[in-house]
Amino acid sequence: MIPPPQVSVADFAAALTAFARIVGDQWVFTTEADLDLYRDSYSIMWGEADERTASAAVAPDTAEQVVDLVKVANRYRIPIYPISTGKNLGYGGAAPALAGSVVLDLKRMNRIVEIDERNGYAVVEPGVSYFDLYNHIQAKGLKLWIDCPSPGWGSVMGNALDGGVGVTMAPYRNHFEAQCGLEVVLPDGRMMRTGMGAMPGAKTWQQFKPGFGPRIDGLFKQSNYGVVTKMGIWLMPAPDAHATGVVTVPRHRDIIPLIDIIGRLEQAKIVQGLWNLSSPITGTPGNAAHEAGPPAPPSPTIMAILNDPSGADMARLETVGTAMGLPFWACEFNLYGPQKLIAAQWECMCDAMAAIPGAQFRLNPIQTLPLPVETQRATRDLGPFGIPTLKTFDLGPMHEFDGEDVVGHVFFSPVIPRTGEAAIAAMAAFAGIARKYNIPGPPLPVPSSIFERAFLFAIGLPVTRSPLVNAKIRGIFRELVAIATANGWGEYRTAPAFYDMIMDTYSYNDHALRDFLGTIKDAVDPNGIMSPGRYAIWPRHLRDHKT
Amino acid sequence: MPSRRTVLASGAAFATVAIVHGDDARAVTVSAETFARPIDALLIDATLALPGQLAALVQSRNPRLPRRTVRLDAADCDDLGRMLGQASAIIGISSGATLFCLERMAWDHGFRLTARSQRATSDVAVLHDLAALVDGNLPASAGTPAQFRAYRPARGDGLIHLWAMHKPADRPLRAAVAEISA
Repeated sequence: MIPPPQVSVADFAAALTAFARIVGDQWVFTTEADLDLYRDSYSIMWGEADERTASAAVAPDTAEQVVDLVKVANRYRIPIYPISTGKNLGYGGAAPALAGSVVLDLKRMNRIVEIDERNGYAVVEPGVSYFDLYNHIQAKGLKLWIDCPSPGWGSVMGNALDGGVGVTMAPYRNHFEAQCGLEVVLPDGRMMRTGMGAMPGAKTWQQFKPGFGPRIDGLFKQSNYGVVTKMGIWLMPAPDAHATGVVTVPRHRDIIPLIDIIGRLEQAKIVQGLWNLSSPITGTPGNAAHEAGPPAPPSPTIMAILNDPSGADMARLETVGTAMGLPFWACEFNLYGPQKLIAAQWECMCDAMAAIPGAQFRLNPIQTLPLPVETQRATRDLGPFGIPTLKTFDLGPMHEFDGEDVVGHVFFSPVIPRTGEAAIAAMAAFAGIARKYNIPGPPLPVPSSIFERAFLFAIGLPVTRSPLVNAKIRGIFRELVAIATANGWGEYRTAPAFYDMIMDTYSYNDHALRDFLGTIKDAVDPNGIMSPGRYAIWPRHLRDHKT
Repeated sequence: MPSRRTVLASGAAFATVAIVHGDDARAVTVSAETFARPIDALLIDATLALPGQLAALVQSRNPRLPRRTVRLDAADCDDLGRMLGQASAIIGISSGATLFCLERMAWDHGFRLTARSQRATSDVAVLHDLAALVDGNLPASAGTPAQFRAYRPARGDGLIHLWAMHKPADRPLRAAVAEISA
């Protein structure tokens, strides 16, 4: 038994005994076989000395048990690392940020505390997955939708607290922005509720986010200031119908007016569903919802242009595409609502985008909702319908990289200005790195419009079981971060291996933000027991040690 | 009265210990030990077109073994969770991607992967592996090398995977979801 850092074997043993007294022996895990399950399957440091592995895990069933466990952790200075369902693959999984931490596994706390169709919200515990919430809504016949990421086995709460996103309507896609009210066990073991929940007997905890005084919910996103044991989440009224509409524009530089026009439509709340940018020239047809299979690879002529070591010449690509009758860009919009609203939205969108010469429009048939089961089974991507699946894992055999099996990915996720100019610059920069290192991926990586006012790039870099190749990937990641930082593009989320690297890029005024977060850490968690190092927030004793 | 479980396992040594080196065919079942656990169900991946020869073998070898199609959509995951909560030993035929998901879901219900082989469907040895799997000649988890305890994705994911999982102890981290107040 290897104790956590700076904890004696005797204290660790005493703490485990105390943990077992609270939750029962069977819910304290210390064997190698059990702890293997808390390794990050997608760890970019797998098998290396610096891999972040747990020293033990403990699984409480109630918030009251969490309170007692936190008090024990304080008594023995045991670093604990709460996880919800531990399915955050690509961003750390179930593994702690600090090797040797005790994972506080909250999967057993999977109660749906409340669900309110009239006001459109649910209150959930950490172990409630998207599957759980979706199936519960279906079983009760409620006219509510969830907004889920792909895959759907993750925790509703865990995803929100990690800054996760979905793919339905704009107000619900940013999951932390859709939360309303938290119950938190603070590092000293005191329980607190945020917003209106701070008032005993409050009737509006899940209806009024600001509460009274400072809104502190954000302190519990991507942080380590407490164990969140309940969370309210706003749910979307189930729409009557759905359609996709595809807009194509012919030229490379058309992306600039296109993004400007769409931005105005989004800001005016005319466009609310997610839209996906693609490039028919590079093989993505821009009508994914109505394609039976994966896109065909681009022609050899186009691949030769895209793979030109000196950089892909977009003007040449445009010329070739025009000769082939292919538009350069396509946008596929998801439209929701009563059919009248979908028709009206589409009309407004066509009016606005018709200003771009050569723009073409196609509205696909409007589907009445809910989708029949057979249609669901035949639909490749059910995310836009608020239906969780695990289909994302079934996209075909994994690639190889540098002769090694690719076992997963680690995301590089910078946020880019919502302009066509920035999109062009980012695509060129990131495609250049992909070309340089022969990284498997789409021929032309395009930004995502998940966030309303900024683009997101989510580039999955391959993870292998070779320390040598993984070290190379870490180097590529570092290079991508340097390029992004030089352009003013910051990451919104990252895997534990890169927490410190990314926090270092948020360095305005000599790291004022990092220092402020450290000051809060020292005040609320003086023993530094709560998820040390998560999102690069370190307690004093490890901060000093680190420097 | 017949039990839902099909009690088959006996003391017969596990016969499929072949490790065939090559890019497209590997058997990674690793122990000659067996465990006398009834098999609760055979899970068959809906994304695989199970060759007729294999389906016939399952039928002839053990017609009473409950079979269940796995789709990994929302409704299926709900049912699967209930089944995993009640079962003690399951075997399956799946793609690598489906095994990756199933293994992680099963972990939360206390299961561990105890045997696995991966082969091209055209490899005659797949019949041998499948017969052993359906007969319940499953290797125990004890002594299983660490690298085989969990499946990891590989270029061989275009292959057919045969596997067994069982619960070494009844410690499910996941139970049925309950709503506290309506």
